[in-house]
Amino acid sequence: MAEIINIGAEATVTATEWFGISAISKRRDVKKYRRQEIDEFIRSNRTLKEANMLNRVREKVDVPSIYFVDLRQSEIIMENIDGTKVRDVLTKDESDKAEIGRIIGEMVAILHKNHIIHGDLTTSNMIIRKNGNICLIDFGLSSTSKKLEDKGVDIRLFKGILQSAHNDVFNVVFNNFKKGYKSVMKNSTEEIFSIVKKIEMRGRYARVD
Amino acid sequence: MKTGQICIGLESTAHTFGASIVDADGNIFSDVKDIYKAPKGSGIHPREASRHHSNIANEVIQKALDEAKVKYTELDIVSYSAGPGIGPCLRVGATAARALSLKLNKPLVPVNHAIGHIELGCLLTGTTDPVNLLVSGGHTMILGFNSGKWRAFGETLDLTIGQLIDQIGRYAGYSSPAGATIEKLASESENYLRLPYSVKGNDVSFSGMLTSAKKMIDRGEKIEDVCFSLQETSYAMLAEVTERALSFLEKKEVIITGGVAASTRLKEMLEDMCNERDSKLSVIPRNYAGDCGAQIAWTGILAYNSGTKVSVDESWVKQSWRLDRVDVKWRK
Repeated sequence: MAEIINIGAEATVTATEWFGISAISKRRDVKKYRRQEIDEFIRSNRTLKEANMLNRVREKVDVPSIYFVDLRQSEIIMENIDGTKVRDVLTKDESDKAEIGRIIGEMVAILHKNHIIHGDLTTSNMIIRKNGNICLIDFGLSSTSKKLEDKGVDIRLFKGILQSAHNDVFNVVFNNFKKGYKSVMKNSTEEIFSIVKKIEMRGRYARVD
Repeated sequence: MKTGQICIGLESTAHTFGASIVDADGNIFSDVKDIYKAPKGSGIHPREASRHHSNIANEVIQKALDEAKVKYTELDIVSYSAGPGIGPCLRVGATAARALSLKLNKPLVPVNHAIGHIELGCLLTGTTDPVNLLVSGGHTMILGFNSGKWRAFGETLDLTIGQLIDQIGRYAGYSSPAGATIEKLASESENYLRLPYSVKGNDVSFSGMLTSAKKMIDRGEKIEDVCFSLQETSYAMLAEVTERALSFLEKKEVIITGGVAASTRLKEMLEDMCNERDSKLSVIPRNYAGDCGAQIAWTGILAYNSGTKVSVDESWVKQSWRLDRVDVKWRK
């Protein structure tokens, strides 16, 4: 039995080896609650999307390297990232929240500058390596788009998860996220962040009256 | 015997006018409601719904007291649904509550309707720290309690699941709420037609599905097949985002609350999901799933005992009042 490293919401990650290199296998599990035809489509579609996108962004931002893709099994064999999820680091007193926010902002801006939308910018999809770099994982919901609206939706998701799960450090992380984002995106930053506000106001019962 | 505090809760956010008597131990002595029925093929008309509520309010409140065998003078707290909801409807409940509070000289407590759904669900199922899937005509949210508030970990970006179901129901000529009708029709089909499956991170979007499903009806697909496909797709999306929150928060309990919690198929799917994650699923009992006075009365007690009340002069209703803005002082 392979050692299970993580059971995520949609995939099981196990330790494996790829021609002598330590690696992980990420397999998108069959979901019994979904009808087979929906399930098969989603699993193979997201696996393909993830593999393609990881390949495409590997020279732009820190992402795991891919070794092998098996679409029939919805499985990707890729680099084993040695580190801790941002989700778990933000709860520790000694972590540098400002720097974490800044690095994430910079990475997301680099993706957006290349019209790539991550689609799932939650803090459990960001791993801090031992050397302090942050590795972005899980591109299964990613897409390409030039629309500022789509970039805004991407940022709103990150903002939302900070508010819900990391409320105590929200200000420092998000303000520095914006700084990092601005260092790459420059002038269009304000426009995109004003769209984020608009998207929030579109939320149900968000309007103040 | 009623020994502790006794609270009356008035619910009037949308189509339901409800009154309920609950005590501080969580005993529900009565839960009476009367639902405004929109004509076939149309939705809630705010003026007509509020007219229905003001016509029926007296009778519903009296019945709630009679069934509970409680006299007006025995009430300790008066609570009302202060939002979110339809303005004219909210004002009927608030007006009745103000009158009771003034006449009896008892504290008046505004309650967030959505928090009411969650807290009543936790009370009735004995759930303590769940991921909450709140599904109704007004809400589609995945929530977890964290540092003083019920926080949204995912929600709909456009329509709620209840709106999706009701709008398809109306389009096909049935009256709202159409959940039970749609579920019955769906159970007569096994023929899946492909609909857009739209999960965006932790959020869902149903507007594309609504358009596609309407087009299917237009081009003459069997209504049973459309309903079946609609349920299979939309509920699978809800199961997925609930699983995402469960995994992110590393919790082991899920509770379904809100009117759509009455759906058998939704429960089945969530059960499959929870079983595979060694998590426990609870569903609010069917008779308390939809809007009711009990959710307001029980949350009214919790809120009052942690310091919430409002004077009649300063009492208010808010059509837009997000539940993740409410300080939940009674939970740790």
